[in-house]
Amino acid sequence: MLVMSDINKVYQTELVQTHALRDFNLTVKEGEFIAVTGPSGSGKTTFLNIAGLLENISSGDYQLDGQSIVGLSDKELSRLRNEKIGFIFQGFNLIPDLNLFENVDVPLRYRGFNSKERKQKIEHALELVGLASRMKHLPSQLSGGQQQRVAIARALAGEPKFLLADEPTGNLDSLMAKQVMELLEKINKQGTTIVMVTHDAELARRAERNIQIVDGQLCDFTMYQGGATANEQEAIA
Amino acid sequence: MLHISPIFNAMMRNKSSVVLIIMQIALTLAIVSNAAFIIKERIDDMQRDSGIPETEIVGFSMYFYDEDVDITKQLQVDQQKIMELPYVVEATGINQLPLSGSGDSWGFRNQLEMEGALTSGAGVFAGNSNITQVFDQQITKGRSFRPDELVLRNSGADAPKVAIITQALADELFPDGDALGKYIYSIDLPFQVVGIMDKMQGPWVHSSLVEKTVLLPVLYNQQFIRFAIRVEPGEADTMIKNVQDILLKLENRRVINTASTIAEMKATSYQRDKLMTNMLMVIIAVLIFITALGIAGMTIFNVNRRQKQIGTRRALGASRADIQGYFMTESAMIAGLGIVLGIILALVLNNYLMTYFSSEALSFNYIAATLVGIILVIEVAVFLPALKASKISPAIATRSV
Repeated sequence: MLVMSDINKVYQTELVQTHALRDFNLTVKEGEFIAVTGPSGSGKTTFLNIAGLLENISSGDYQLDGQSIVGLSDKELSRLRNEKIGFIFQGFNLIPDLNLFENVDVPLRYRGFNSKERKQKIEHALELVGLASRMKHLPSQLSGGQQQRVAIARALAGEPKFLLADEPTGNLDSLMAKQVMELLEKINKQGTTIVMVTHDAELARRAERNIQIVDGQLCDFTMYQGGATANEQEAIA
Repeated sequence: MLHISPIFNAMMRNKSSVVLIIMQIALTLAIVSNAAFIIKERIDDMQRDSGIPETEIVGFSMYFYDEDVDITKQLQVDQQKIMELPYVVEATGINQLPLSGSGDSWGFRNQLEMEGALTSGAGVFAGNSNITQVFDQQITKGRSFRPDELVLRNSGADAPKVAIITQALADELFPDGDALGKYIYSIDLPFQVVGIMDKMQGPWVHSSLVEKTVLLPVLYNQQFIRFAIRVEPGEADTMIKNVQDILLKLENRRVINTASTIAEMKATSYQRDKLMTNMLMVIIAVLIFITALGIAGMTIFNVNRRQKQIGTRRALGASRADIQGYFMTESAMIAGLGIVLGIILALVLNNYLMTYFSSEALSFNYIAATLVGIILVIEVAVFLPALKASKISPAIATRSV
């Protein structure tokens, strides 16, 4: 599903050169649920941005669902993001001026579905997260947990193969966090690959596989239910 | 048309700034279209053909302060002397000068009886029998005055019996087109129309009577009188420079005011129109600039305020072109709403101007041209902020602040 080979990401300013990722190698198989942990400033967000095609790599190769993203145009990357990846953000990132229906509709419009298809997918996604009855509400009328469920519905509506979750429970209380986590597990069981960046060790333990990023490198991993390949172990070693 | 309904819905949920910009665009459209129309009206007026060679006719007024001067005789002496000059074509004493902003008008009708008569006012030029030649008038029907038709008003003679009128007056009083040979009446004085000229504007450029002119072969015995001289092309300055000396040598019991060409008098008469035209042009430019600034400012504000939203949209699959298109579409929709309101306001404003300032009905072409201009200005104003928005990195979506 996701193969990162010798990826480097360097941020260059006039005075400083920062290596956010160094010789980074990772393979994520289709259907896996991976938790990515690491201290602040370790490169988790950079990894997430690169995995989600939100930033370009400085060197190396990244193949998403069998397609190398190196050298793709903005339009091609946008298309890939839209078709293959669903995003769940820590701050939900719902658009405050749009109601739930319209929020979930955003990626579907960029995909070019007709209105009938979009309506069907939006209703299905909102039903999945238990908010179909509130689709005309604005985000400000919902609790944090409900907003995150809308964000999950938005991420799922386009039926992506790969879900990237950035601290999905970071802004939620423990009960809400549990509900969201259970929802993600349910989605994963239906076949969607999930990569979740989190600070929460307990949450991370619920994933199939944990990887840890320190100083821009994949330095450790824990396999709970199997998943890492021999190649990865070699790369990490 | 990918985004119209969500953009519209989002705008409706965040009305205040949008409503202000819509109002601004509407007012701009209403004012600019009417102002452009007024400018065009004024420019058309200023560029109207007066029917006379304005730069070749020199005119001036003079005042005979000694009542013993035989003015009609003196005017003929003056004319004779002036016409001896090699660069003078024709000259005559006259009661008023075209386009000068000062003069007489009389009321005329097409029959002696008041009842059922067609009536019209007209500027009346009274001069020597060569008056048509002085103003280089081509008589399209009939003839010019004969010398024996001249009436000197201090000789006890009656009023002149003949008149030459412009086509505009002929059409007004004789709609059947048979004015030549007919009589026109002012109070109870009859004048036979012996000639019709195509065009000769009267003294008041803003009057509805400006195209309605009557020439009469009569020299008045008035202490305050005027003089008109047609010179060869390019000789007006020479005439203006010399005329006072020449005439004062003939008779010095008079004050002769500075002469000028009809073109200069016309420029003075249209001075306020020119000033108004220039002011309206400035107002148009300022209004359009402010509107462009307003919508560009709103877009810049929205782009800055929605950075995270833009990043999120990019993360969810929007390309740079989609983001730019979003803001261009949003501004076009705001412009569209402003334009709809503006068209209504423009028509209301025009109705007010028609009612209270005798303006003409606003042609829809001016509204159409203005709205096309406003859309273009707005889209140009929004282009750069929208471009800036499209360059926002999608990675901003994952930043926590």
